[in-house]
Amino acid sequence: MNGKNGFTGPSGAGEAQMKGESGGGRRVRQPAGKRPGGCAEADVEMETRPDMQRAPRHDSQATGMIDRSLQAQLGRQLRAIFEGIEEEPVPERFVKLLEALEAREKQR
Amino acid sequence: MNIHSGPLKQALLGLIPNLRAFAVSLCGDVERADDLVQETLLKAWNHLESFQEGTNLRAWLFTILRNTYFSDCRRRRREVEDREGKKAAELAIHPGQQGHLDMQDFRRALNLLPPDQREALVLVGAAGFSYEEAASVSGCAVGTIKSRVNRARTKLTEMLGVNTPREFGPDSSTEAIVARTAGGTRLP
Repeated sequence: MNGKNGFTGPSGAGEAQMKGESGGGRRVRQPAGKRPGGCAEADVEMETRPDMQRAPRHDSQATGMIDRSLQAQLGRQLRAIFEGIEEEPVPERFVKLLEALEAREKQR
Repeated sequence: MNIHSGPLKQALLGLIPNLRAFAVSLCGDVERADDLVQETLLKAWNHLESFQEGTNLRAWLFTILRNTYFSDCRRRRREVEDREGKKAAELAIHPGQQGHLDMQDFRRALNLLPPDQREALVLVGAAGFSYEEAASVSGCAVGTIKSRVNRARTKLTEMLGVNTPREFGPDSSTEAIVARTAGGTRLP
């Protein structure tokens, strides 16, 4: 097999997309913190807001790691099934079928 | 040029293991898979004029096989849905009971994926086709293949329920062995 893997390959892209989205989300939300208030209030916002958003981000990073590990595991199992069948000898019925088709061809 | 007979027979013979692997992964049933392979070989032999020489014989055969499979599926859709409903019920009680990914669980989960997602996953993740080749085999856009592969992965992860860190690393099976050993070697 050529090492192409439906699990690890697209997973990178998917995560980049997820991170991109959440990063975008943070950037979008920060300006929303603009209020008719003083600098102190703005500072508090800067302190608390990222915290509130950091928690789920940690979770998603952990999940990302688990997903990668799981997906590698799933990929190995998928290939194990596939390669297991590939290694089986060609069933006799197919050899006979092709011989019959070939014989028919020669008679024409 | 006519690649009938000798060379074609050899080429087909050489691709049978690959075709069988695809068929079994696709339908989850060795007997049905071999019927699909047989039908594919017959169709290929009888419609060789529609094969463009110099193009990928393997991709052409995969296309015939998957088209045969999907038209077969459409014919027996109701029956298949019933069976998959039962399989889903069996699966639901399974994964939580053991902390590791068992091959049987994996097979069952794979068979429960929507056929188009399973096909995309197998083509790209096991048969070694590029997204472009997989798209041409399945007769759809490259983006469609990509999203099917992603959805298949997500669904497998959900179905197998391996979402917590505890289910990795030194897991419950290790604990079970430790417990068993501790119980078994207790000195009198």
